[in-house]
Order: sequence, then C-alpha cells, then structure tokens
Amino acid sequence: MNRILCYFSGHPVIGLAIILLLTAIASSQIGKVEVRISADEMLVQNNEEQEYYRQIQTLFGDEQVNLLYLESEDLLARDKLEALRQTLDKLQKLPYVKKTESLFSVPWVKTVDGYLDKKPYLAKLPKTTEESQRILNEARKNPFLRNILLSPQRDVMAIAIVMQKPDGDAPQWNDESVTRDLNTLAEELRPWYKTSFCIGFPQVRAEIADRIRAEQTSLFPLAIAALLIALFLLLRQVIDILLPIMTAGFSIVWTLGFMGAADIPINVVTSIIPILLIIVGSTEDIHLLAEFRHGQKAGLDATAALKHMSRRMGGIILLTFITTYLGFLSVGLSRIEALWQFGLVASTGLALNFIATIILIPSVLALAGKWQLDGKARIYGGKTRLLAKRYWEWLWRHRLSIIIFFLLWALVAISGIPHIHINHNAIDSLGKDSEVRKKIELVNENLAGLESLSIIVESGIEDTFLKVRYLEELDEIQKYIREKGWSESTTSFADYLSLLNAAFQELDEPLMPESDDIITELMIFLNHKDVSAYVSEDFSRARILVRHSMESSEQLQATLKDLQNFIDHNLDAGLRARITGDSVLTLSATNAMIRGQLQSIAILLVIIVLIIGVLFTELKVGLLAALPNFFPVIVMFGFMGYADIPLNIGTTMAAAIAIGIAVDDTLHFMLRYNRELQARKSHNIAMEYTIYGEALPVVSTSVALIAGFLVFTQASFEPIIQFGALGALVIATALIADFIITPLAVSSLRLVTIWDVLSLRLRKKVLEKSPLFKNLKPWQIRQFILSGRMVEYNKGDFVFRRGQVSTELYVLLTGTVEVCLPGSGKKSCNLLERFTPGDVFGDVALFANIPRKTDAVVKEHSTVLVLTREGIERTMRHRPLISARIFSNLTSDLSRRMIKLISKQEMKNRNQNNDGGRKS
Amino acid sequence: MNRFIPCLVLYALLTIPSLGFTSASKATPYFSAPYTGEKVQQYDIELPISRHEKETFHIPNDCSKLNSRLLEGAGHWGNRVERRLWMKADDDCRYLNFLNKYSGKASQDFVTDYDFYNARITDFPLRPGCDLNLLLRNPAACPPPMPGMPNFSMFMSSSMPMHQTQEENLKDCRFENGLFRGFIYHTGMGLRCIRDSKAPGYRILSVDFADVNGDDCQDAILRMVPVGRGARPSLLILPLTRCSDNEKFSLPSGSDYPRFGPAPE
Repeated sequence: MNRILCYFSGHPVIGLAIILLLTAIASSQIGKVEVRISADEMLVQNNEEQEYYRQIQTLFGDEQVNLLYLESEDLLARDKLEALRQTLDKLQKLPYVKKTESLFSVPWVKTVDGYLDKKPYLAKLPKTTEESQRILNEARKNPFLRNILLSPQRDVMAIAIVMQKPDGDAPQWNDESVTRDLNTLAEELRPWYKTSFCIGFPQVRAEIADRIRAEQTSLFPLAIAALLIALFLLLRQVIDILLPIMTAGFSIVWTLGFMGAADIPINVVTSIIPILLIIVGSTEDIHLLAEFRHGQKAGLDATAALKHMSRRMGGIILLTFITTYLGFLSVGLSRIEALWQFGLVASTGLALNFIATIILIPSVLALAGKWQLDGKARIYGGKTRLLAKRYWEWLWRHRLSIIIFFLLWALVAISGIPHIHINHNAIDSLGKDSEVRKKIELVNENLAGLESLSIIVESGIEDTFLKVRYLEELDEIQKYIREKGWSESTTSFADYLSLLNAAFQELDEPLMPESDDIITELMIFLNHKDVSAYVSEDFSRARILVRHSMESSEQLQATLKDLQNFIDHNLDAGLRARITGDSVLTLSATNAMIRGQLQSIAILLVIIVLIIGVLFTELKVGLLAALPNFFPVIVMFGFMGYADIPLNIGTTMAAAIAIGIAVDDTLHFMLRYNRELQARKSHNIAMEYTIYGEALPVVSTSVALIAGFLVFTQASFEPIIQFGALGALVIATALIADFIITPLAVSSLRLVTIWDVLSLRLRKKVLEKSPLFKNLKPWQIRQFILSGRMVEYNKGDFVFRRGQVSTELYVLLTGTVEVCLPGSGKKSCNLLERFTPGDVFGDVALFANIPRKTDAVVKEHSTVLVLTREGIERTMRHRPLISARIFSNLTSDLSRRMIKLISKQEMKNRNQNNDGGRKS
Repeated sequence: MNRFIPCLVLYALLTIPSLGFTSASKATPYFSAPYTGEKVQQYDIELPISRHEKETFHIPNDCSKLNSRLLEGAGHWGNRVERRLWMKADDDCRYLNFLNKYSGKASQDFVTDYDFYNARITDFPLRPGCDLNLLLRNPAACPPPMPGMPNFSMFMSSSMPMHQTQEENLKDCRFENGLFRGFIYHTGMGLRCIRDSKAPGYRILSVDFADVNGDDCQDAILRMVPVGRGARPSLLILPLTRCSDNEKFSLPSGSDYPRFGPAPE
C-alpha cells in the first residue's frame, strides 16, 4: 500500500488518467441503472418456503389484488353504477388487467324456479332504492364479497383488479404506468363517489420509487453539504475539504456504473449507497490528509510529507478499509435480495472508493498539496497537546468511576433490548403521512385489508374435499380465525359449497351441505374454474384464503404461531396443513433478516477481534479492541428498545455498517498508540500523544459520519430515517468509547503489531541463538523483545558510557560492540569483553542498579535491541513464565561471563606472575 | 318463376304437417345444464371415455351415443364428479326416453289444463303407493316410500305447534308458484297446512306432458327437487294421470318409472 501511495505521489498524471478512464467506463453503464421496486426483493430468496408458495400460486393463483375503493351514500344508485360500468369497461381494456371482480361479475348464486342462476348481483341495474338495498343485503351474505368487496356496515364497496403476470423480461407496463392509469380511472369516478381511489401493491411500490427519486435529488446535496460543513469546521483546508468529496463523487459514478453493468436496480436500500459513500468514503481520506498535514506541520515539504503519509498510513488505511468493507459485505450475507444487493453494491462501492482514495489523494496532493498549507488547522497547536495530556490524566485518575459509569450505561441499554419489537412491513415504511398509507388504512378500516395468507390443507387423496367431514375441518379453522378476530375475511371451498347448497335448498343464509350425497349432487353444478382458487382439480388439496390488516410482524408472528398450534392440535389426522402466502413470506423474511443481521454483527465482531488479535499478535488485544465497538451496538439496541424503534430492513443494517466504520477509529487509535509507545517509551506519554494525534482525524471523521448519517433522518422512509438516526448514534457512541474505553483498555496492554513481528523475523536466527532466549519458543521471544526498541549505531558510537544511569540492557543483533574500562592516556579503552550478534550486555549495572562502570563502544555498524527496565518489569507482571525463563538465562549468561572474566583475570595474573618470574 | 310458386306451395303442404306431428309427439323437456345449472333444452357435456380420452356429448341429440358408451363401460371413468356427470347425462336421456316411449298424442287429456304450479297437495298421492286412509290410520302398514318420487307424507305432523293452533292459520295445502314449504295436518276439515318459508318442501322444476304408459290418456310428469335445510338436491319424478277432470291424480299404471341419480350412500 505504501508503494502504491508513493507511486501515485510520484506519478500524479497517471493517477488522474486512471481516474478519468475508470469514470468514462463507468459513465457508459450508468444509463442502464433503473429504479425498480419489487415485492420479491424483500423476501428470502430460493428457500423452500418461497418455492412452496410458488407452487401454491401456480395451483390456486395469486393472493394479491388491486382494489378500486368506492365510498358513497347511495352505493348502487343507477347513475353511479352506470359510471362505474363504464370505468370497468375501460379497466378491462387495459393490457395488464386480467379480470375485475365486483358486484357486476361475482355470481349471485341462487335458484330461480328451481334452476340455478349464477348471474352477477348487478346483471341488471336496480331500478329502485329498495331493489338496491336488497341486492346489497344479499351480497353482504356472500363470504366472497363481505369485507372483501363490500363493507358489511358502511357504504363502501370495492372492485378487485386482478393483474396479468408480466410476460418476458420487458413488460409493456410497470408500477408507475399501472398506478397512473388506475389513478386516472379512479379520478373519473369522483363526481359520483365521495371517495374513490385505487390501491394495491403496485401503488405502494410506485410511491416508494417516486420517493427514492425525490430523495436522490434532495438528500444527495444535503449529504454533501453536511460533509462539507463538518470538514470545513474541523480541517479548514480547501483541498482537504474538496478531496473527500471528489473521491466520493468518482466512487459514486463507478458504483452506479457497476450497478448498471450488473443489472442491480436502485431500490429502497441500494438507494442510500451513494449518500453512504459520501459519508463513509471520506474517513480514509481524512486520515490520509491529516497525516499529510501532520508531516507538513513537522516541517516536511510536500514530497516528504507525502512519503511520510504513505509510510505512516498506507498499512493502516488498508486495514481500516478491510474492516469497513467487511462491515458492508456482512449485510450482503442476507438471503433477502434487497439486502444481498445492498451488501454487494455497498462493499463494491467502498472498494471503489478506496481505489479512488489511494489514487486521487496522493496524485492531487503531489500536484497541489503544497499550496494548501495555510496553518489554520489550529487543533495541532501546543494547547491541544496540553489538553490531551490533561485529558489523559483525568481519564486515568477517574478510571474506576468511568468504568462503573460505562458498565451502568451498558446495563441500562441491555435492559432496553427486550423491548425491541420487529416490523418489516413495506407499507409501514411509507410513514404515517403517506397518502398511499392513508388509503391502505381506509381499506383496513372498512374492508378486510390488503394483507393475505393461505392455509393449505391436503390429504394426498383424491376427492377428499368432496366429503363433509373434511370440509368441516376447513370450516373449523375458519371459525377459529373468526373467533380470534384478527381477520374479517376467510374464504374456502366450503364457503362456495355452502352458497351453492343454500341456493338449492332455498335458504336465506349459506349452509354447509349436511351429507356427502348432497355435495355429490351439488358438484354437477359446479364448474371447477369457479373454485380453482380454493380447491385443486382432484379435490385433494384446499386453500383457505385469509385477508387481514395486521401490519406488525410481531402480532403476525404470534397469530400464526397460535393458528399453527390450533391446526396441529385439532386437524384431522388424515390431513396436513401448512400456512403460506405473502404475509408468511414477509414474516419469514423478517426472521431471516434479523437472524442474518445479528449473524453479520457477530461475524463482524469475530473478524474484528481476529484481525486486531493477529495484528497485535494477541487475542486479548482483539477482544479489548472489540469493546469500544461492541458497546455502541448494545447502546443502539437498548435505544431501539426504549425509543420504540422496530427492527426492520433499515435498522438491522445500522449496527453492522456502523461497527465496520467505527472500528476504523479504534484501529487508528491503537496503531498510533503502538507507534507512540515505541517512540516515547512511557505509556502515559504515548497515550497523550496518541490522543493528541488522533483527536483531529477521529473527531473529524466521526463528526462527518454523524452529520452524514443524520442526513438520512430527512428521508421519507421510516426504515431509512431510523437507519440514519441509529447510525449517527452508533458513531457518536463509538467516538465516546474510542476516547474513553479504548485508551483505558489499551493502556494496560503491550501492543505489538504484526509489522513489528515481521521486521523481527529477519533477525530471528540471531535471537534464537542468543543465550538470553535459550529454551524459549519463538513467540515467547517475540512477546518479550517487542516491548523494546531497535537502535542503529555507527562505528565509534557509544551505546552507553561510564557514569550513566542504568535503565536498559542490550541484545546485539548485528555488528560488534566492545565493553571496556575507560583507560588513561593513549589507551582510551581497556577491553573487558567483545560482543557479537546474539550477546547480551549492559545487564550487570542494570540489575545492580548502579551507574555504568564501563563504556560500550561500537566497533562496526551495529543494530542493538534495547530493553528497558520498565519493559522487563512489565513482562514480569504480565508474563511470569517468560520472565522466569529470561532471568534463568540471564543468570546463566552472567555466570558464564563471570567465569570467563575470572578465567581471564587468572590468565592475566598467571601471565603477570610468569613475566615477574622471568624478570626476577 | 311460374313453376317456382307451385313447388313452394307443394313443399309447404308436405313439410308443415310433418313438423306438427314431430312437435306433438316428441317432448322437449328442460334440463339443468351441467356446471351452470341453467335451464336449457340441450347442452354439451364432456365426459371421460377412457383414462386419457374425453368425448363431448350433445344432449339430447347424442343420447343413443351416450347409451352405447355406457354399455361399453365408459361410465366408470373419471373422478367422483365426472362419474356423477355421466349419471346426470344418462338420467336426462332416460327421462327423455321415458317421455317419448309411446309416440303419438293421447286422445284423452285431463291434465294439460291443470295448474300444477299451484296445485293442491291433496290432489296428489301423498305417498305414491300408499292409500291416504291407510297412511292416516296406520302409516306403518304402508309400503316404504318409492325411491325417486316425492313423498308429501313426510311433511305430515300429528301435533300442531302451540303457536299455530288457531284455525285461521291453517290453509289449503297447495303449491304456490311451484313451491310448497310447510307442514301438513289432518284436521276435521281434512288435510290442512301451515305454510312456512323455512320449512322443508318441494319445488316443481318442470311439468312435461306425455302418454308414458301408452293408455291413450295424457299424463303429466312433474319433476321436483326437495328444498329446505338438509334437502338433497336430487331430482324427483312424479308421473300423474287422471281420466276425468274431477278425479284426483294417480300414478299412471304400467309405466316404468325411471329412477334417477345415484343410490343414497
């Protein structure tokens, strides 16, 4: 990554050319992107439940219908009916209308002079009010009309418009054209009816599509403005403000191009991706720019600052990109098409944004970076450094109270979680002020509602449902549903037979045939086409069609559970029943969505723990790093519970996405702390510098993210509004956690990054043969030595000098060092010992805790690993086993050196004696 | 042109009597169309003649073809409903044959002018095959009701409901526009009825006229269906005859009454 950034710093024109080329390619595909809202995209794809429902739809037909809702005082007045008949004629001529069902077409099953008469209720228009009333009264007895097309109490009736299935890939109509036509026809009836409108799922989808288009034009500038303001307030550098916008802009064009090429439409959830890219895509840019300005502030020119930026941030932004990418990608683990598409497009968009960032930022900074340093970003002033110091001191002093406070906060949040309810209803997403929603509420209030489900009862045996015993089973289920009161309309084959039976027996009310004989007789007069929606041709399988107005997923879930329970306990042993239908699929999608998103959060947290654990070579560090990111999730769910925000398609995404984003700041914080710790030695000073260094980029990115997420609260879809609010909440909480929990958590750790480990691998052989690390495993050696630092010395340099305070011991990695007693005159050094790679020196004075007695002189260019007393003591505390081995080795080495020294002294004495003897 | 007019007259003279004879001798009853239940004089019905084959019959024209297929055993094909439809088509054909068994118009006719749709019940045999006196005295001694025929005696009640004891509530037992629903009581004034629109009863579907037993005395053939709660909508047939205007109607002797529909399960 460092090389890529450096390359584009050196070749800015190539970088810009690549950007323009990619933009040109993407632009050629943008035209293919379309706003497309489909009912199926909100459902679980390719699962057994959906497959079963498809079979049922093939067998019994669709559940869904469009309604032309009509309300008027004298519903069946002749002029009104004549106008309505003309409208129905026009409706029938529409290419997408398969048929209409109304009092004009639904058969009034009765006998005339003993012969069956199935002419519709309005085969002849009533001439008098009494006749109209009689027709209405009779129609209200028909279960296929009551509450479906005719209100039992109010002057409301409806026309069911059954739609054609679009044939092929390019239907001649779409939701918008259907809605437009139907609204025009409904409008034409206004002079006759107090209320007239068309409502159905095409209208809902058209409304959603309309809003998406409107929001793209209203929210997009708002998101840019929010980001600009946030960046301006914090960065005050024109180019630093513009660059994130530019990278976001390019990545949006590329992402839309990708969507066009991959035929992924703009829908409720994918519509937020461009805005999300503006918000999220800016974070890496801010970190890069902050580091660049940091370098410039330190006195580096633009080229050097770019190198500094590349070296310091290359690896980090790659890592933070990966975590954010995983956050977005985890949403795509869902089996719901809309979420799957969102995950794919958003993660791809983020990857494209990353590419734009690593190309554009170094390229533009290489060309224009030097012009922009105006020194107005005063956050890097001396006062800020002092503030960081005081802040850290305060934090450390009150750490116990702070931990208790956060624990209490977490407990309060956790206790809110059980209050969360679930709602995944497309209609609910429109908001309470929506015209479409108001129309649906009117339908729910006066008719049975637009929602539906089917109960499929089957035996696998031909002619089962030509027997009273089994028809009564259907009736029992219907009765139970009626008793429970959650549905105003249940219809089945039993109802049709009851109507037919009542017609032949000349009864006032429908009545179930009393015997199988009667059913057999009735079947002569039954055309299967009339009941194909309710019973299979071989009469082995029957459907109970239930219309309802339950919008709450929880209520639906409880109701279906209760119904299934009733069926399981009461249904004849020879029958099997299964509940399916649009409501059931929606519910199953809700469950899959919630399961999937909770799974995403869990997977993401595990990945974060693993990445950070591997990065810092310790799982404990990963777990601690997850804390400031897990905490906001708990707070978010708690808030949802208290604020009555449901789990829906928007809110379930919030946590996974926000964690993916928030973890970036944690990573930046930890990596900087690691760097500062190595440079400054003291963890307190390191932490002060970390807070000081990260305050601007972390606060900037978080404020920009919060501002961006809050833009979504201006949307008109409830799930998107909630997504924005919760996203902002998570980022804000993560910001607090990053500056409170993260510093306290990591200050107790010795952070060792994988990069440190990788650089040390080169010296592995040297270390393994060192007497200090005898009998230690490689990972134990790494754990111990990585608390130290590497120092390079040139020939003639002193590693330490006599009289210096001893705080460190040294492991020679390369070169040669001689330890000698300072001499006098020409002989400046009385050599005590020569050290080669792997040897330990400087330990005697350190452990004796006395000033140095010797000089350590570098004889050739050397690399020395410096281990501090503090580091060693910390190892003693944290890793006693390693420490014990180290001290044992040190003792052996010291003893060996002592023996060597004594032997050397003896040899010296012997030589002196020999010399004295010779002289004497 | 001069030769054309006499030819036309001759053709008319030859054809008109034959049309008249046909209309007089061949009954064209109404049927309930399968599936729709509409009142029709002819209908098409598609019936299975083997496991994979179906054939359309135009009833009544294809009655002989239908009969042949039945004799071949085709009536067993199809599901329960299709088998019932075989029976229905067969019933209709048999009814037609029953009417047309004896071609030629009967010379004595005391039935055509009678208003059967508003007939007095007492004009009909209360239970075909059982004398009214016997029925009133000892119904158990009566032979069982004839299958496929209406049985008015089943509406007879020995005790009147408390709220209906007023004499003025008792009316003539008769059909009204082809419908009788109510209870029959034997009072001092003979059989009297309480009409009740919720009670079981009979609906006259059609009245056809033919000499069904070839005794040269015109007969009326009433087709009825039971109505009221629990009634099986199977077709009942009541052939009636009388040889003077003052007589009660009786069953024409010597005719084979066709039994329709499946046997009760």
